[in-house]
Amino acid sequence: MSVSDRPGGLTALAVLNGFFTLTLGVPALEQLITSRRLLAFLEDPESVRSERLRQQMKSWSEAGLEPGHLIWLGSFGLVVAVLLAISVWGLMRINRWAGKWCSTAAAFGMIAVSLIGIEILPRDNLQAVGLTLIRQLFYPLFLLFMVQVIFRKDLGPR
Amino acid sequence: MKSTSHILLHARNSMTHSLRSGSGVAFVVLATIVGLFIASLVFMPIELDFVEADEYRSTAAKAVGFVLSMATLQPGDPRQFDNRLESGDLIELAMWAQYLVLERPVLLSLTVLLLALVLPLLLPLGSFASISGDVQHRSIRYLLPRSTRTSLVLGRLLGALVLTWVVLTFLQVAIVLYLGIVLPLDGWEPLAIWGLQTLGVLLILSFPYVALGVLCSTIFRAPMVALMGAIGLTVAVPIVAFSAWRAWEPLGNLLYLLPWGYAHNLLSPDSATVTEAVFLCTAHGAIFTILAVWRLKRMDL
Repeated sequence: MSVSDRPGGLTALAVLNGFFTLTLGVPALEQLITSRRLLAFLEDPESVRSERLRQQMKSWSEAGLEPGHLIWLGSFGLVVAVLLAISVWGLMRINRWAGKWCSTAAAFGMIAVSLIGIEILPRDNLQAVGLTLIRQLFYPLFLLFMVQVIFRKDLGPR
Repeated sequence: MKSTSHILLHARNSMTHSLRSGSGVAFVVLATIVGLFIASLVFMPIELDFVEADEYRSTAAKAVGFVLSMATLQPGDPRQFDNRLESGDLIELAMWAQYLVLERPVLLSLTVLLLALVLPLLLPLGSFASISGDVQHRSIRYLLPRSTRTSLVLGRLLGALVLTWVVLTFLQVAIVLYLGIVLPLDGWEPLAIWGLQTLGVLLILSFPYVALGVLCSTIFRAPMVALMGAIGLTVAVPIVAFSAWRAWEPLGNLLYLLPWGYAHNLLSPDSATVTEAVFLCTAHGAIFTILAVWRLKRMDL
């Protein structure tokens, strides 16, 4: 199938997946960096120089946030971001595995990242995130509907 | 009978095609995300405990009153709005604002007011390519021997409308459920009743703007130009009307070129005013549809 035969919706989904790769990948990296800082803070609170950062680390450790949780969440977020990045390529090439199944796996991953984040992150960080969560859950569900229903034949076996 | 089945067939194909096209995907995602973002902006002060519910209501009443005074083109200096409100000069507007924020679930009223301001800019996304997409790629030539131009326009319009209504219903259901479960300021019953009424308002209001998108789609042969035309007209009408109104008050009536001039009446406490606004919205949509049919019939394809 030539590039011009690709439905516009697949291109749009690829662009949106690219956007969500960034919105998921960057916070995941941030969580990994934060986990290192939190680990350093727990070993020696004076090692964190910034007073503001120290206060933040203190409040997080008091809220029961563990570096291991953040490493787990950040790593999982990065894996989902990589799946989304692969799905961008797959959707552009109309590739069944990279387009359909990486999108499907990434959609379930995005839902899982949002739900795990609620479970792990301190309650202070989760104030007023309800509608943000619905927003975060909407796109993966929409992506699932599109690749499994609307583009079922385009991304199906040849 | 045959034309009705053609219209329904065009509508069904239009919806499927719309979802398979980039514009449909962009419309669904943008409308939902922007709608939820607007709702979260409205809910944030209460959710983050920045203000108490009573304080929020009184501030919201003033803000809504100000918006209504602008929408109804009240004469006088807008900067003197607070003084005029306190002196009882704008008693009807004050009562209207109180109806929306005190007698009805305030968070839902504010969300719907903001949605009614923003959605007209997003709605053409779902309909701008309905005719121009086929005209640009000349695929319309394969359709015309099998169907009439009228049923093509009506079918495409129906398809775009149904897609828009599905998105708006999803958005409204998500907002009402969230308000009922997470921010139960008003209780389920008033929330559900007002949720249904405001959903009706959004569905009625969407008709003329979707029809405008289809009309622009028949006027311009390139879909992107049609999109720019529809959004440009939607933005330009209030800007030009307000500027002209300052120069000469009767020119403010330019606002009625689109539903901007009466859309707020859909949320009025007076049922006669609401009925009139519903009629005007339907008439506006019907006029745009008739113009679209007339334009497509005259097109050299």
